[in-house]
Amino acid sequence: MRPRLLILFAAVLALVGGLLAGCVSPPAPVRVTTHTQVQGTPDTGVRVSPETSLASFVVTVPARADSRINITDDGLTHIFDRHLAEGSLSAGKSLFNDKDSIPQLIANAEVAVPLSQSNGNLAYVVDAGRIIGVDRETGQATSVYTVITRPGGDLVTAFPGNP
Amino acid sequence: MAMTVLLRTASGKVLRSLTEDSVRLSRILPPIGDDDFPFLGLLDPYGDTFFSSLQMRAVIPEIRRIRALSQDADDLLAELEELAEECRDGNRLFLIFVGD
Repeated sequence: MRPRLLILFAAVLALVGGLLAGCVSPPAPVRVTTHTQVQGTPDTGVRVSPETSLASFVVTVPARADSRINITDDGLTHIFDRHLAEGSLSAGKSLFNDKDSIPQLIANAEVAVPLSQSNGNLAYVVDAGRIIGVDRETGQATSVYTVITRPGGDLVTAFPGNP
Repeated sequence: MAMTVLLRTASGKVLRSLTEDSVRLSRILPPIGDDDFPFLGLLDPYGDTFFSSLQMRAVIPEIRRIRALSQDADDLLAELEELAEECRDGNRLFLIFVGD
């Protein structure tokens, strides 16, 4: 009788211990939100804020050792307002040709080496290898674009041309 | 860089704007952190900088100083000064510098 009780007690202890261990384990990182799908290999992805609900873009992420650009709802709204022909503040600005390609262009900027700006922001300057818009500075179509982020990676803006 | 300027009401209606010479304007405005221009030296190049009517008391003299220093943008700066004066004289108006 006593050995059976001991075995039962040990089994209950093991079960409770397992449950507790499961509770305190760190959750697996979640990169894909309900609103935005990110394709790419784990641990090399662009971070997309959970609150990003403006767009349902599918972004293919270039392979990198770390993730640096956080595409925020605010950042995309800022860009759409200023750097699309239909934007409310686009008069006098450099313009992207295609709204849908903008999140992918931003994601692709991860492969560039960022330049530090005087206020700590980071500027990624990228040549897309194809025409992506019109640079206001030259008045010409351009394949070059700039992505600006805060030091922590949050997207500030992006526009055709150089900083 | 292309800086545009809007004269706007408190409710968001744009009364006048300065958008055609955005690249030239960004080149003649003071660099960020220029201590000689405490207001115009702190324009956000990648955001919106709002000035109220009251702040035009400080902004207008800075525009005039840039005009005095500038060689070839007097027309543009004169237009900017006009916007600033209209902001100063208006009721609940804002002068907004719109960055990239």
